[in-house]
Amino acid sequence: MADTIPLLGFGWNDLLFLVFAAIMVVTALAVVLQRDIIRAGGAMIICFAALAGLYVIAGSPVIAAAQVLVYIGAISVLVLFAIMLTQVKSAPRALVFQTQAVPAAVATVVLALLIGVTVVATDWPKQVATQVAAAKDMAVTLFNDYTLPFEVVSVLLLAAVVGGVFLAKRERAEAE
Amino acid sequence: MPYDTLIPLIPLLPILGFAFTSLFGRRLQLRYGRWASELVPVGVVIAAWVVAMIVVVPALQHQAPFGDSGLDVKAWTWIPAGGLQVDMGFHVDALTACLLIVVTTIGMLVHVYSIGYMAHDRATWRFFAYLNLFMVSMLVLVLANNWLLVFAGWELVGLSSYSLIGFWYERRSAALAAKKAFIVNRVGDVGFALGIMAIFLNTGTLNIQDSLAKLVSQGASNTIPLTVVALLVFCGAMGKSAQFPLHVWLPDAMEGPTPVSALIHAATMVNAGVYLVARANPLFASAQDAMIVVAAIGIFTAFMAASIAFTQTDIKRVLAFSTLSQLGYMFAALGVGAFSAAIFHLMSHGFFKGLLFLDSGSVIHAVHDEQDMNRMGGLWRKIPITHGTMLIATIAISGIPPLAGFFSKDEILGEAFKNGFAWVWAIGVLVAIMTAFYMWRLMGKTFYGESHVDPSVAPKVHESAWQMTLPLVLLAIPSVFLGMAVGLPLGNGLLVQWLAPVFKGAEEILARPAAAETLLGLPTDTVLITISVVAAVAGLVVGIGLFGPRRVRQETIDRISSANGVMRFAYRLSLNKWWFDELNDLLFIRIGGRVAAFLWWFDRTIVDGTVNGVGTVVRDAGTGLRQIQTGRVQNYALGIAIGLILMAGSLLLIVGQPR
Amino acid sequence: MLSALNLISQNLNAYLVLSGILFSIGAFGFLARRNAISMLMSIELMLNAVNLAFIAFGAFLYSSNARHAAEASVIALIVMAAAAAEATVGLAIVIAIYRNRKTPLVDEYDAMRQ
Repeated sequence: MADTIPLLGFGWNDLLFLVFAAIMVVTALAVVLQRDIIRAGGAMIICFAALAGLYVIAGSPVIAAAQVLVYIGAISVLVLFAIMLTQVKSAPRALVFQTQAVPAAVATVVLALLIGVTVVATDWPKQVATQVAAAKDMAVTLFNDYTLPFEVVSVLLLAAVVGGVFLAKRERAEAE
Repeated sequence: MPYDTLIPLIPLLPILGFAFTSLFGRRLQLRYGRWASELVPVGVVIAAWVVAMIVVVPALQHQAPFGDSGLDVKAWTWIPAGGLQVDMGFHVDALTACLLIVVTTIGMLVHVYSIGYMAHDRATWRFFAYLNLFMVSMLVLVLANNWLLVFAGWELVGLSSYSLIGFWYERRSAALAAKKAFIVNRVGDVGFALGIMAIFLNTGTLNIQDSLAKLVSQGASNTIPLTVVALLVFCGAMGKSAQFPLHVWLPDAMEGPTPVSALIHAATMVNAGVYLVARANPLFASAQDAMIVVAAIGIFTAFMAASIAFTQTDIKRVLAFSTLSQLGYMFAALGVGAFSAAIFHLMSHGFFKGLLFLDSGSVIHAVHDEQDMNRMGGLWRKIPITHGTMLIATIAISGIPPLAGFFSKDEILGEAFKNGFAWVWAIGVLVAIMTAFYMWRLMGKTFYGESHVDPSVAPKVHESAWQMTLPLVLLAIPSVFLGMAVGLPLGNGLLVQWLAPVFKGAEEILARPAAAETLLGLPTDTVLITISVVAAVAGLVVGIGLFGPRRVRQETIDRISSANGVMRFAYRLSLNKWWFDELNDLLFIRIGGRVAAFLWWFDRTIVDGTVNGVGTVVRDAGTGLRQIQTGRVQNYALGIAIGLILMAGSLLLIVGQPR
Repeated sequence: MLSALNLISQNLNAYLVLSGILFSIGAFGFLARRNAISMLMSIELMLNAVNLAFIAFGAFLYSSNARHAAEASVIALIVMAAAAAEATVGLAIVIAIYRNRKTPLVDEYDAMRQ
């Protein structure tokens, strides 16, 4: 494959980046703006998938895989289940947003500008080429330097599992 | 040194008695009866008397550890606060010793007497606890070596006096009298407290001896003029010793049980003022103007109280006014610089006035709680011991030689004359006549003439129990012999020698020229003594002529009391106690009440209004701000987000572009 | 104009700006949506934005540490694990509250007001 796409004058990676970025922004906006919460959930899945693509471009295929497994496979499903459990058909659909939506919008636009200005104004020390996060490197790092965080995270997950079970159990106890 | 232990023991014993009786007295009284609750308080006071006597004898003779300047005993440092060092310390010199004699002796006898007098009361244990507390306070007051401790004792006697006046608190008049005594005393106490502060400002020490020495040596260079300091201290003395115009509480204080009147309001507490001025004698000697004020107030009180005593019919009130009058004498003596004469009179008065009160208590007991002399009379056969001892006390207070009152009173009058205060002397002689007269009036109305006792009570009148008569007899002894024992030779008796070192400072400052040796061709002393005795006899003769014992000239008495013109005014002046209660009522209740009402209004609307206004503003602001607290998480989250954005933004603006 | 886009896929700033936009969108959702589950989804968006920034730093930011790209990935992995835990508990709480209040709308959870 050629380094640059004829006609457009830039590389495939660049094209993919633009496409994924566009998909991400659009679907993210859909997540927060979509009135139908099920559609919002669907948009979230697409957004996560696009992000996984970006991870690949950025040279982190392992993270991309984890993104697909964890976010799309687990969290999104969880969210969809939660949506189904709490969806009230009679709820007034018009009132998707808080009364403070406008000030929140202004604040977040300012936030975005702030981040953008900071990013552009900062003179980052540039990497010459993309640094690839190889699975082996990751494994070495994770199980040498980050053993303690790893174990802590495992405890955290265990606690989350126990908490989820506890809440679910109570639900059933109450239903009886 | 045994004295280091003995001296603190004197107040400590009654403290223990007070603690024990107030904690366990009630239970003991309920379980074992009255005597059980009385054993400890009376016992500790007797023990305190014994200890005091052991201390007093060498102290008076200026023996080894005491010397001329007295013995200082420091128990511990009470308040160690930088420049302010106050010891829990005692100072015993001859002056303290004199007071110790009076306080412990009369205190002990009154305790014994109270066993009999309070035999029918419900809560004797409470009474004895209070009495012990009073003994503690008075002993601390007398023994203290620094002004702050004196003040503590000063306030404590006020407190115990309040409790004892209001002992029968279920009687409204007693409760009111207690309150009156407390409040009027407070007026004086403020002055005393200011005086102590002034002394500390001037000298930087609260030790009595040190501060007095420093005050005198600094003289005119004191920050606060000595006259002001002396008058402030005298203010306290006026309150406690019930001198005009703060005398109004003492007659009302007679609402308390009679032993209390005898102990507190005749023999000990009211002497605190005299003691205080005598203790501060160098200060007063350095402030001549203050001395004149003391003398004037003293002699005026003496005259006014004597005139009131003419017409009172309550036996205890007559004695109360008599006390005022005699205290006036003492202050007059202090004012003219006759300090040892004042202490002499304090002691002899303590004994015979204590005796008079205990006698009156015995009389009141005999006629079943009747205090109105118009409902007595002819009692002398029925209660002979009471009558005998009261007769002795009356003669003693009248100033007939050779009883105690003659020596002390004569010394006061003589000193006043010789020190150039002829006006004090003249009024003093007049008051002496009056004293003899009204005292005999009291005797006559109580013991002689026809009986006006309630017919239902009359057959049951009987002499009191031995616990009551024994103190009477014991008190009669010093009333007779004290003067001869310590007052002879005249003007240079034992007491004068004892007290000489204490008053040396004042004597040196005053440095009076020797008085003329002769007067009207005769030795001055002879003339003065003759005049005093004649005055006393004159008063007695008029009294005997009007009120018995041989014959009561009722029609003469009636004519005087129903006369018109000046006589009528004088009579009503006396009867209504110079309208002082009415004046106070007008000044402090009506006018003062208006002022207070205005101040209250001011406080309520302006001061409270301001405070409440602040409160209202805050509350309203809170109500407004509460709207922000919606309870909705997202509102808070937005707040946090905006805050973070502002912080990050301002950081960016301030720090500028990173790198 | 086109040259400005050259190698955009290796431009750190591009990733970071994208991450910022994503984060802001998530923040807006969190602040503005009434539905508790929408809020949770917004949180997920924000977490992903942060992860993207991590990965971008690891891939394109110069560091003397040879394995720092791997390190960034490890951090991203841990963030994912935390996100999973958060989603589990958060959704469970939402469901528990929903059971009591019969509504997923956060602005009706005003017990804090009393």
